[in-house]
Amino acid sequence: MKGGFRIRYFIERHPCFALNKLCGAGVTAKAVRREGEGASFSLGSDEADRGERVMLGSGVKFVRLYESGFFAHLKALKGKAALLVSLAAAIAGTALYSFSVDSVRVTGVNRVDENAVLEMVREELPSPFILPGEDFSAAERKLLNIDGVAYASVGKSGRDIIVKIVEELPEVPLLNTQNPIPLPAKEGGVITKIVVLNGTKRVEAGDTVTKGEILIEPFIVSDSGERIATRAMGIVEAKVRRTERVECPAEGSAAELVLERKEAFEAALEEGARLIDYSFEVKKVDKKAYLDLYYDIITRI
Amino acid sequence: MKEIFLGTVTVEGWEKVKIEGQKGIIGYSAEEVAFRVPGGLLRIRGNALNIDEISAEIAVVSGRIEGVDREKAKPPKSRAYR
Repeated sequence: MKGGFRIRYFIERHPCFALNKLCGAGVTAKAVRREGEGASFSLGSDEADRGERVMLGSGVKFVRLYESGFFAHLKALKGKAALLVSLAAAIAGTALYSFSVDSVRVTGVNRVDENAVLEMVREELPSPFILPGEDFSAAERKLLNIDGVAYASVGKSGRDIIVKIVEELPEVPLLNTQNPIPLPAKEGGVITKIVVLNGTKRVEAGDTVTKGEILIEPFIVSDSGERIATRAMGIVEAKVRRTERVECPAEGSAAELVLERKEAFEAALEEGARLIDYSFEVKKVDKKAYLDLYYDIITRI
Repeated sequence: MKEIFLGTVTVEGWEKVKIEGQKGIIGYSAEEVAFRVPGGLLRIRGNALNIDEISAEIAVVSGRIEGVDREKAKPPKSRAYR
């Protein structure tokens, strides 16, 4: 067989007559299968034309079913390969488009020079493509060096880079405030980040604090060393452990319950908080099994 | 002059029969395949019989072969098969 692929035929009636006609014309039929009153068989592609002419000339009604063999598969594969290539190109194009940066938007600037912020961001992000999960912490640290920037965060939303700036308070003579209020911890934990907007910090990142402990004192010290009462303000994040106890059901595995509870806990987390680790243990109390879950999160306190 | 069958019939492991010199197929079912051969008929009996290949020179039948019978030619009365 020089053509490389085979063509399968179906004849409704008198298969012996058709096969004898084909054999008489020097055509070789292969894989003959009886199907009811008829039969199906395959002919090599180089003999198919001759075979069809013989059958037509003999009044044999036939149906061409499909092509098979290496070259037939190759033909089909060519079509599939073209489809796959175009799909891959489309995916790559979409990915490149979504990873590319369209614009840089700065929010929260009043007194800080916006151009300086933009220039700094562009220096830190020279590539026009930003992959998902890109670390912007270096850019955030650099932005803190700009005069008047107390806090900066950089993130990607769609194809835009969003730079959020919190400016330092204006350097105006501060008068004694009537209500010097400290900033206490809402929860106990290990401080991971502290940004003081107003006041004097009492704790540092890495310190362990308990609930109610003062994080930022309600005063500032002037250049002349004078303590000026003020309302403490700032952003304090800490690693906090939260626990949950649920009764183990009689049926079902503890692992499924753990995953279910963990997903529910994550869904109910307050804005800005993120789960970083979790663990669990099963305890027996009064002949009942309880599941204790421990969640480590980073949140504002 | 009496015609004699000059072809060859080869049975391979009761799973395949190769007939060389067949003169046409006259019947085909899953239980029996019959060929015209010089001087008579050749019947292959069995189960799940398939014709792997058929050409002017050779025919190969596969399946569970139970027997190969040869019948001497009789004077044709009518067209038995089409």
